[in-house]
Amino acid sequence: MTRDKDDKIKKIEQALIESFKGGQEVSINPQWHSNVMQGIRGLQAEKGSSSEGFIWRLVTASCCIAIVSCLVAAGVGITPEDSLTSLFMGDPLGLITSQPFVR
Amino acid sequence: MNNEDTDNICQSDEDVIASILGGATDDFEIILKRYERYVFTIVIKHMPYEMCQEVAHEVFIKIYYSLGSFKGKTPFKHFVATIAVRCCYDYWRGHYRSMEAPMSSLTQEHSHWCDSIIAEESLEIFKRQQCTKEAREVLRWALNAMSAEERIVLTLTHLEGLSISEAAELLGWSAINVKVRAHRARTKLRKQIIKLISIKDKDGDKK
Repeated sequence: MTRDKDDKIKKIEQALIESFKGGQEVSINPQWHSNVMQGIRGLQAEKGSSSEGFIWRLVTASCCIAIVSCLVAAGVGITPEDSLTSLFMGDPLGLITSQPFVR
Repeated sequence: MNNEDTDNICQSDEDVIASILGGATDDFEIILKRYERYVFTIVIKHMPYEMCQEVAHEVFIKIYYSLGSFKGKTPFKHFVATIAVRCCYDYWRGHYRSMEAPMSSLTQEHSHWCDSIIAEESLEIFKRQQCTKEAREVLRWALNAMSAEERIVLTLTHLEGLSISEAAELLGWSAINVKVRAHRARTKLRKQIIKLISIKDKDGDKK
């Protein structure tokens, strides 16, 4: 590369750097400010609804487990009445079943 | 200045962040007012003017999302700058990926600008020439020839004048990575300038 060409490159490079540094003025639209805050509030609302969603999903899952357990128990032949009856018949005075509660 | 403004000035960034994390979302407005000009100053250097507002908006959304990760080891201003620079880089990565047609080419005016820069001996006129629309367009044309990585590194190190380690910290890259990319980008910039000069010389020969 000739010295002349190198000088030209340096000159243009310098001019480009200075044009970059000169830059443009920042002008902020007031509407932009309120749009950002609106976006942030929207995110907050989404965050809130996501925790609410989690609770509802948990409730649904719990109900499903309860229903499935009842169906399985009914299928196997276990009913709450039968279980209680057999418990009281085996231990009419409650001597065994009340043991854990007696010191 | 009203009382509310005075209160906002008295509150440190850390206090404001704690209150936002505690659920006072509206306090983010204090952060927004404190740093909007700073963010715009960074974004405007890296983005086309028409994209600045959109990218700055994204920067503040990311700041809000990342508040929990701010540990206070460095000043909050530095945290904001890091997010702003990375948002600009993300924009260019997405832009290059979705780009179908080659970007703007140079016209006769740019060639004249190049002529005047090379020929100008007077410092005063030289300085005036640097800030023209053509100068910005030539810079944009030269930067468009680079990858997103080279573009951001060149802008930070060569144009803005940051050190390699400062640029590396802002981008979250290793210093060696930044150094290599900065070197490649600088070579590409010089190649673009040579191209510009040769276009001008060819035009001169034709005449």
